[in-house]
Amino acid sequence: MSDPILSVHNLVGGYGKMTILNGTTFSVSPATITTIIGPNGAGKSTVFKAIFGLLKLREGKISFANRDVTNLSQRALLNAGICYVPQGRNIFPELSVRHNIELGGVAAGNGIDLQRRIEAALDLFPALRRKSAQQASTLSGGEQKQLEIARSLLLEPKLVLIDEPSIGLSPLMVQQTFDILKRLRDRGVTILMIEQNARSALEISDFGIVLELGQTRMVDGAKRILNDPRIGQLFLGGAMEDNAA
Amino acid sequence: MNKRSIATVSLSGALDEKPRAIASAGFDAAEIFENDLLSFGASPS
Repeated sequence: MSDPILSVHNLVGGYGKMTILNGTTFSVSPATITTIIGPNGAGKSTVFKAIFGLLKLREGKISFANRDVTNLSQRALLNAGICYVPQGRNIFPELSVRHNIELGGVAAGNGIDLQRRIEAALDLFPALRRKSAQQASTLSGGEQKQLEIARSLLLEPKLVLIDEPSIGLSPLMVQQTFDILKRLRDRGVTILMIEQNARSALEISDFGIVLELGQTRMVDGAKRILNDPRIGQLFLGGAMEDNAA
Repeated sequence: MNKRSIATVSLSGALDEKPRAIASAGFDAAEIFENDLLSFGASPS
């Protein structure tokens, strides 16, 4: 395994008096897809918020590309090469598809070739290119999720945090979205993903991380996690054994 | 035979176009996604 691009160590934090992350520790290799799985309340989305500076940690350290990025601002994290695609639909519905993508470059400041980056993003998403002049609200749900991913690429990130990209999408659109994530990985972008659709996500992933109650239960190759019967019972919808607690 | 339904979020287009497309594709019902209503500019009448 190559040197990690992202390391989170002993994260402790939560909301008010409630502790959600309780010693979360894992690392992510560059140019890989890593999927975080775990039951509701395991802290999956919370660990993303912590990495992206949206949750003030009480303890722990986050390193990105050999640099301490713990509790940095979102602007600083974007500049460092981390992008975050949260759950749900987060577009500007009244603006055109192209303008939505263009807004992804706002944080880059002057001196970048914005049009080249927009064209490069549209190259990855033919459906968005065809509809680039349309109002974004007229895209289907899956196309809107693709638009969010395209917008995140304007800063040419090294790491994309993507939370539940398949939620609410048709099976065909899920497959298309996962194919795009694989293409990004092949271009050297690191993908860290949370997915309820754990089996499909692990099938396209290199590594998997199992979280439970804010702690890391397992970090392993995605195939090994897929084939681990304990994971099947607990997280992937497999049948529970009769004598299981 | 079971009736078939589709959610408008699965389609692209404006709200006035989607029901026609759904009907012409042979679906029996449609579930209207809230965002389709929120982003549609025309009046209810």
